[in-house]
Amino acid sequence: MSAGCKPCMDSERQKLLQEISKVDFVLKELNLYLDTHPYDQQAMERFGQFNALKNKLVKDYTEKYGPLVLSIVDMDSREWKWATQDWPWEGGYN
Amino acid sequence: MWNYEKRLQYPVKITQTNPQIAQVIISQYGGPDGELAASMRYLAQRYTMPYNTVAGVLTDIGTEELAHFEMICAIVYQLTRNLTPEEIKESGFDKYYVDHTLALWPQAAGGIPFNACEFQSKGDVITDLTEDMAAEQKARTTYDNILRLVKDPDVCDPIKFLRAREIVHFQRFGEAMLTR
Amino acid sequence: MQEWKPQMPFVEQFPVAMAYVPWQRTCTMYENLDEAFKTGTIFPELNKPFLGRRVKG
Repeated sequence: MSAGCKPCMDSERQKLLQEISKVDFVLKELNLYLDTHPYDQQAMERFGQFNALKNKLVKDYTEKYGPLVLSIVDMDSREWKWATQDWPWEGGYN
Repeated sequence: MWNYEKRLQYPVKITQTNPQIAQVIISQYGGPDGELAASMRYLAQRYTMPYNTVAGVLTDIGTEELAHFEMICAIVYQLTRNLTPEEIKESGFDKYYVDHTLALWPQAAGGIPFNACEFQSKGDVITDLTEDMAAEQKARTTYDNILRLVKDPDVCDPIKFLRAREIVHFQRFGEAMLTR
Repeated sequence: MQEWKPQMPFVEQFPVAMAYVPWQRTCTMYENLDEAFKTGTIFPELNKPFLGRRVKG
């Protein structure tokens, strides 16, 4: 049977995206935890730290490879990469 | 309101197509205990919650479930990519294919289309949270069943992730019940 | 008839006819976040993997 997902060529890109997904996952877990533990200062601080890290990684990824969110878009590009680049269900770069 | 991030919550990279298991996994998209039902349930219930934190739990978990049905769709999409007519006929996938080609359409493995009868939004905080805890267990059991039926590690990896999420969600809904 | 003893401590503090889930005991995170991501939770206490058989008792 033929291959299901698109292959990913660039391992650096793959690694950066994986890092973003991992950091975002920690944020999601802390988000849900804080919803039921709304006065946990340590968790809130951790959330702040990981949030800052995620923003930095997303900005980095956007500059090198293309946008992940509409709020951080490379305004110098001549191409609206948000729409022209592959979508995540293709399996290439997740 | 919602924003979209152009990535899956957890990677889905399936190298081998398999329409038989795609037909089973689609239940976590459009089935009674699937991620779409979960999302619609929680996002519907949140409006009448008497506690802000509980509305928060429902909004945030409901939002995460949207990302989960996206993953399920990616799994089914990759499992059925570029199938030949022979592969479609042999696997029994032809019954789905005739109505949807290789597109994603929310239905259960048995064919029942997704519908709002698959969840309730009752307007009582205890009733709704109890429903939500049951929903998470039902979803977890469905993933257990998928793991019993599927052995491809490319598929099992995201499925195990999704299963783990159900347990965490159950815990949060349980904690939400204790809100004063 | 044997006297029934509650299995959960402090059950007297919780009214009957309600469902309860205990609070997470520890809120420590996995040290290795790659492992946490793969597992599906950052809290080791909430990691309950599928072992391929039914849960006993």
